[in-house]
Amino acid sequence: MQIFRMSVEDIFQLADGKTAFTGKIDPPELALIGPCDCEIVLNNKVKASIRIDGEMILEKTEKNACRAISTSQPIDPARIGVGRGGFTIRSKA
Amino acid sequence: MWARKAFTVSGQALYGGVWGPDASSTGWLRTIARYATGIGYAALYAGKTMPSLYANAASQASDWANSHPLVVFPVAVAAALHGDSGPLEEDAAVLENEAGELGGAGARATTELLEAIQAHGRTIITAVKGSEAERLLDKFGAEASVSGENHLNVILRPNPSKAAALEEFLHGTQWRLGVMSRLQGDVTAIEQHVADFMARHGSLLGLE
Repeated sequence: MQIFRMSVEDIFQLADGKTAFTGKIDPPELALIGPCDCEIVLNNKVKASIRIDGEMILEKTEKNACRAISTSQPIDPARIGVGRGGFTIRSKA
Repeated sequence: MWARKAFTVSGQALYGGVWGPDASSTGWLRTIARYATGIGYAALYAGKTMPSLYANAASQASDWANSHPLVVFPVAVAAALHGDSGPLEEDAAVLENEAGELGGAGARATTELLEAIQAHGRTIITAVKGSEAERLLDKFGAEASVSGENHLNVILRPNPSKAAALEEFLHGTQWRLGVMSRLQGDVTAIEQHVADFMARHGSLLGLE
């Protein structure tokens, strides 16, 4: 069981219906994130539950502390009351 | 015929055993399996440039394997269990066969290669200009990415390099073989594992 929090900086709605979230992961040393159930949290309030497919492997050409996770679950940020960033995704305990 | 298949499966590993890194550090069983199976791989490799030799060698190898099941079968099983590069090579070789002859360094992925990748269960999003996929890759300065529970969802830039396409494909194979778990989800190690494989087999993959 991987326990983590991602401070989401941006959302990407991909052409295949999947959604990617990018941001910094706490703890930063966490290994590749696998599929898990998570919550979207804003101001200490749980706004939605989502199933994360896992972490994306990006062939980076430059150093970047950000990481990316994705979900196949349809996500409408406006409907759940979050913007395109500034919220947290945390794994369910 | 099972013997031909067993010989082929076993054959994936000798090449890695003989020329690959640290064969001696991975245990006697794996080492024996890798060395014993390399003959078949050598025949496959030779077949790239000498098809008649390959056909002859494969036929003789198959005949020999059929007459020595007590030798071949345990070695094939051992290779399958302990030679982690075997199935990876098998996947890459299948792609190569289906995609046709691959080009040299810096070559672009052909339509046939991309179709072969999709035929093997991968989805591909092309990060066209102005798309969210392009914005995502740009954020990371990335050439490509792979995601999904089984690491089967690939994002490539338009006109991707053959190396990028193969690398994303092979991440899915790494997941399927349990390599990612064995490397404890260490992304650097996962990337290095694929990079080492592609460097070892650059000629076979048409990347040199």
